[in-house]
Amino acid sequence: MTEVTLAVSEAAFTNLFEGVRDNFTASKSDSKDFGALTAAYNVGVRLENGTVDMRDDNTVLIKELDIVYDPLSLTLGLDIPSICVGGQCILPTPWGCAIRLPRICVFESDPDIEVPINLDGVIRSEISGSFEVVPRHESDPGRLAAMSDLDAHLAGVPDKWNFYLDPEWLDIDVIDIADTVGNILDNAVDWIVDTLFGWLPSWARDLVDAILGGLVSVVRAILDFGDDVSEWLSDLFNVSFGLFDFIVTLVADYFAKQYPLFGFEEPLPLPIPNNGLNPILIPITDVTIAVSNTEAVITADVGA
Amino acid sequence: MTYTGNCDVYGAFHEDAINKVVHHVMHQRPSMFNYATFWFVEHLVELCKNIDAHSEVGLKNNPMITVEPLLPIVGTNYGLDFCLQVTELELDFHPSTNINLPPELNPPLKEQHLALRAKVCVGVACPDKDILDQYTTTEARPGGNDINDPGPRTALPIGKINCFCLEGIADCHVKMTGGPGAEEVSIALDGFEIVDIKPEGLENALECYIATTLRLAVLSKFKLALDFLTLTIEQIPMGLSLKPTPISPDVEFNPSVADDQLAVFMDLEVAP
Repeated sequence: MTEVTLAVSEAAFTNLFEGVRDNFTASKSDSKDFGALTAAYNVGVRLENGTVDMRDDNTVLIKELDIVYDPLSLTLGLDIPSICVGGQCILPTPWGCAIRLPRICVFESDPDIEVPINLDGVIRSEISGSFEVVPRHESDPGRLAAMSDLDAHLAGVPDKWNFYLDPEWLDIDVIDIADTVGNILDNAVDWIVDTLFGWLPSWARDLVDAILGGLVSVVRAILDFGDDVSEWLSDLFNVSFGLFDFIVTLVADYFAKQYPLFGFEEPLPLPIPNNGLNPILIPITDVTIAVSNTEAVITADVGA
Repeated sequence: MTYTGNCDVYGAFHEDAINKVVHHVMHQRPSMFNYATFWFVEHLVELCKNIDAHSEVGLKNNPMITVEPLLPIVGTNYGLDFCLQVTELELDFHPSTNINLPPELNPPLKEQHLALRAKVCVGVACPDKDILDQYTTTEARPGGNDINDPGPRTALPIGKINCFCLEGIADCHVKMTGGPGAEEVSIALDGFEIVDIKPEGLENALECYIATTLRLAVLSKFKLALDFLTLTIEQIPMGLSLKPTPISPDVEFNPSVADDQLAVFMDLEVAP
């Protein structure tokens, strides 16, 4: 015989899920050196939308949970092989060269240039997964061993029954990289070329252009964009940085361990006026949860 | 069986759970059930019934007793020490299985009702006759003879504590009280009966006194606030609150007392 029953409809369950979803934030920074190219990124991630589908097999299916990358900044650094032009003698004398062309060396730094690129809102991806709702009795890490339940409650470090969404599987799907990324990266290439070479006198710029076989093409070659800029960006974040795997792990860990769908203190403080007296704490035992396609039903007993 | 077919949130509390909660309250807040004059605070062993209190009550210097003034000796400034203890309190939701209503309460227990059994022990500290004789030689009302103001009372010396216990049974129902946004489920007492006390007038007077004490001192504090869940569950998103599901053909009673449990139907309300 169950002593306490609490049932939550799918609509109410969805409200609880939205509270957990909206509380999720994460950020990450990383950098990689690919030789002539260095790339560094800084990303902030939050979750939006998503549908909740409670199922008769005691699981909850969450679909199309959007991952919003905002901010997302990428900094590309290029190391172009050093080139020196000029320095030839244009007036030789028996005593040596009287006049030489000025010698100009470029690309001696590493990287020679860094370009920050704002990619806010460019990448769209979503997570779907199946979750089991798991109740766990947890002690607050701040609770000292000698503390009674009352002391722990008064110190704000009580034990809790927490209900987590424990993923059975979780998939991330890169839905779209906006077409605008092509323009953004083309503009970045133009900016790199202008910044690197714009200050050169026209004769030197032509000379470097001739040596390198086209300034724009050399920059694109270092960046290794290939034919599909979107694929290049996806590979950069997915393969090189492992960003999407990181997010999947982070989301799974968040739902399964960090932020419960809901929870309550145990023992449970009775909501009656205390007037300076000890709160009345009610032990709660044998907590279970069962999910069907219409509701989640929590059962519990009152401890002796 | 679906619980939330006609509401967003459903809560049900079996009578066993409620009775355990009552036991915890008696154990952890004895001053809600034990009333006595100050003398008993320093002489707890003299109470009619030993108080079984949680160790934290003493450790945190919580009172065992709610202190009451002396029981007046009418026409004097004297008073007697006394104690009144609610020593047992049990609820039995419809259908009644543990508490049998006495004939005066028209058994069987009606649908949507609950039976309540309370045991109350009263002790009056009676002065020894020999000591009392000394007081008859002095002025009975030493502070003066103002019949409208007896002034502070003086406790008479304690001789023997005379204790008696009465068991009464009540017929109750639950109701929703409080205004919108502050709804509470509370217990309303419909009738109270002490069995086998004569004369009838004494029985009625005692029933009235004990029922009033239960209503005002005990039951008024046993309320289940409907926003209990929103207060208890930290993760409920801001702007969401619970309100009672309106009565309808699908939800005939809210709260409902049936199948040995108290059930509450609630809807989620999103703040505009």
